[in-house]
Amino acid sequence: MRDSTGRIIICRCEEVSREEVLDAIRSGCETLDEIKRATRAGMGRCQGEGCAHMVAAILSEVLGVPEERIPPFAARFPIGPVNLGELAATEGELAPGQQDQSSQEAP
Amino acid sequence: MKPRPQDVLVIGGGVLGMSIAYHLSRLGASVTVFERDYPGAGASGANAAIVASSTTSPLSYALLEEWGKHLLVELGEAAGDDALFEACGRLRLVTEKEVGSSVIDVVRRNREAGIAVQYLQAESVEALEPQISSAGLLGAAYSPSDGIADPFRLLRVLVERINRRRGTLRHHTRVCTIRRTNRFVQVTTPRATYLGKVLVIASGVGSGQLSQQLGVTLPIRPMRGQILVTEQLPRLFHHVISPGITQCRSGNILLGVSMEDAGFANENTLSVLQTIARGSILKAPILKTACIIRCFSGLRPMPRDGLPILDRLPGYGNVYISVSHNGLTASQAIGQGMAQWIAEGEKPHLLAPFALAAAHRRS
Repeated sequence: MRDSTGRIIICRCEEVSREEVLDAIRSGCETLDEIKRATRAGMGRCQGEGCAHMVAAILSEVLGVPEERIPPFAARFPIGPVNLGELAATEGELAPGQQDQSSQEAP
Repeated sequence: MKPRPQDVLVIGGGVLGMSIAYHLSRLGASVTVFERDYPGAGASGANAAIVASSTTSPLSYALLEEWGKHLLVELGEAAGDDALFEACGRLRLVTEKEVGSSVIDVVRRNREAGIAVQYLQAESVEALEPQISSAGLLGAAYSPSDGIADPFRLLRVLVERINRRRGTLRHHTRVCTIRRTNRFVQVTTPRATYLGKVLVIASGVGSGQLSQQLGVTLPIRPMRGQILVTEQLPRLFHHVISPGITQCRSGNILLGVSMEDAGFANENTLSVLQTIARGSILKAPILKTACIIRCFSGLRPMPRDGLPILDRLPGYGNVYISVSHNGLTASQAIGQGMAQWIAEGEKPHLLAPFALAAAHRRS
């Protein structure tokens, strides 16, 4: 999708263009998470649902690495948007892997 | 063939390491920065983006942060980037739970020293921030010159400027060993060996392990901070609300004040996120319906007494250490001061209180 100035928009939530993603890769970003921090692509409301694949495709093209070898954005809680009120009232624990594995060791 | 010795090698591409490298390069030194991942991958990129000196204690630390704030304004203006640091002001809330709190004393002391801060009663706080609940609120320390910095924009500006001078950033380069030779310090990465006349360790929570290689123990431990991020919302808060509510220019609100000693585990935990959620709703009930889109956590190096350690390692004339729990506010003051010390040989006055021996004594 192009915006009104003709830029190709990769991340629609944060309005990040293909050129900005390429700039980030040229300046040394090697992973989706690094590109996210450098450009904000994937930081919006959909958390990369829409753009992860396109950012990975650009990275794959520039680095010459097959797209399936590029790790996705780091998965973090919550998987979908959740109201702060719901979170405050939630019972239970994070799924394994999102859990604090060190709680037993902490003094 | 070995590369030519650099004037200075810096380990750590966070805000402190990059700021020191930037100010050294301004003084004409050749500098190489080693960063394990990429600039801001550690604690520098995982915080609430707050720049504040107004309620810092002791005064020596507040003055270092105040000077840092001033230099951040200058850097933002010089770079033409008004989002690098935005002095939107900050309110440090004081609630009934803190009766007899020292905040009022700190405000008086800092104000007398020339820092822009005043204590406001609850009514004035409500007028400035209508979304803040008045329940249990006594007042707030208000500073118009505190604000929000974007650490990634700051780092980008520093990288550009280092590259323009005699500086090199080696990202995705892990330092394996450091050791002293007759005249130089030698740094080994998986691919090469580098020599420097001077070494600066600014590796956040990793600084302890690196200093240990030189036989020096640092009184620091990792401290985990967790933060929730809301969707982009219309402007609800005009100032940084401490503790724990920062609405960024993008509209996203960062929520979080947690501090836990969880070793090197850098995960989010539901119990802490819930505590943050409950505390945020108590402070600003409107947040109850705000959507959380992400959370993150960062490991910050916590010196045992909470103050930065800015020193030369004992027994080494040419190895410097720079670690701080909150490095963003003071980053430019620390960068400028350490660079001046390294280049000119005398520790600047502003950095004098932050000695390793003092940190050991105080802890």
